[in-house]
Amino acid sequence: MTQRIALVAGGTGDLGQSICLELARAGARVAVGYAHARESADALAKELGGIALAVRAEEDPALAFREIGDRLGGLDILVNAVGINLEDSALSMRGEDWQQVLDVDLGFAFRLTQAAMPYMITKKYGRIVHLSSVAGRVGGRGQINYAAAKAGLERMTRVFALEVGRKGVTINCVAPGVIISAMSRRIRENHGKELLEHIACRRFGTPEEVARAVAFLASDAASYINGVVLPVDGGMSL
Amino acid sequence: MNSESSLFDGVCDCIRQTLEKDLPDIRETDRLIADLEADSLDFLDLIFRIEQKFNVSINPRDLEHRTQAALGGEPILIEGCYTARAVEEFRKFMPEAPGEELYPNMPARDLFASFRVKTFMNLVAFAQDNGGRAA
Repeated sequence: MTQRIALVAGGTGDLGQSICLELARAGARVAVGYAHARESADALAKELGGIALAVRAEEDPALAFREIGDRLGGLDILVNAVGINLEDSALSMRGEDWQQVLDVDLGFAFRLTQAAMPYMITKKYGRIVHLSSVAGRVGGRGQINYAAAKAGLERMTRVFALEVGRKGVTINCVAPGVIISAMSRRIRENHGKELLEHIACRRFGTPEEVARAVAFLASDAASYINGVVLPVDGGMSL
Repeated sequence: MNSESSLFDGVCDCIRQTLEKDLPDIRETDRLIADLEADSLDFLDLIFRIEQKFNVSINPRDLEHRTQAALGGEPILIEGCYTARAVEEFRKFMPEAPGEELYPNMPARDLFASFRVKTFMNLVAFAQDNGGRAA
């Protein structure tokens, strides 16, 4: 993907950083999208020879794309690694927590994808990869909002793929299982042994393993893969 | 600001790139969908290209926004169909469309069927007159 221009929204999280590194290693010019961790984004962008860019769920994503256009000259690859998870039992979850996760994990994904279209459709080239989750397929106790948002994200991906595929834009999801990251720390610490029994590989995944799958779907090599959800979960969803 | 002929040429270039056809004889009166065989995705593709080419911001719903502005708080849509007053305004904004194409109680989804090459030229000219924005 030499000289392809990539934005990784959520590029400062554990998975996001690995994805930035993997895309840069493959030759892409990377814009590291951050919500609040500007210093981390600046440091990573400097290391990769890219740029750091504010991409916040509460703001219009078109502004970020305009800035990438101005500073890097376009947009070929969008990776959406933005996500939050506010856990509670389905019976006691507060409406605000339900809505906030839906707004960020699904609503922002929609707005981000829609805003990327002018750049990709007119180029007749684009790769969009959303980070879903094994929860989108199998659910998970305490994650009714997160599971619903990720399931929605996967269906949304399919519809976008159906509509814009003929313009050279592919849209896919990677659905990580339990990955060694800050987001999964609590569940690994509290339910690690039980979880491992459900993972065919009998281990948790690494951010690098997710990043390699994302980089593949974002590459020219994946030109005929569109609208799929690629599990990277060690067989957890089997 | 573009002359009428450069507007026409620019919009035609965008149409050819969008539809990936030679289309040597495009006319201002050609309808995008019925005459040039564009579909709804081409429609958006064309708008994106026009925005980039002319450095303006236009939106398929700009005409609705202008109509709404002209009618103040009065609704322009009832159950998905345009009111008679809204259609009157559309006729002013789209003189290139024959009057019978725009009729009271017209379903909103049918408005784009009346968009012609000239409609896009007018949208660009309007946006240029308004600092780059069409509504």
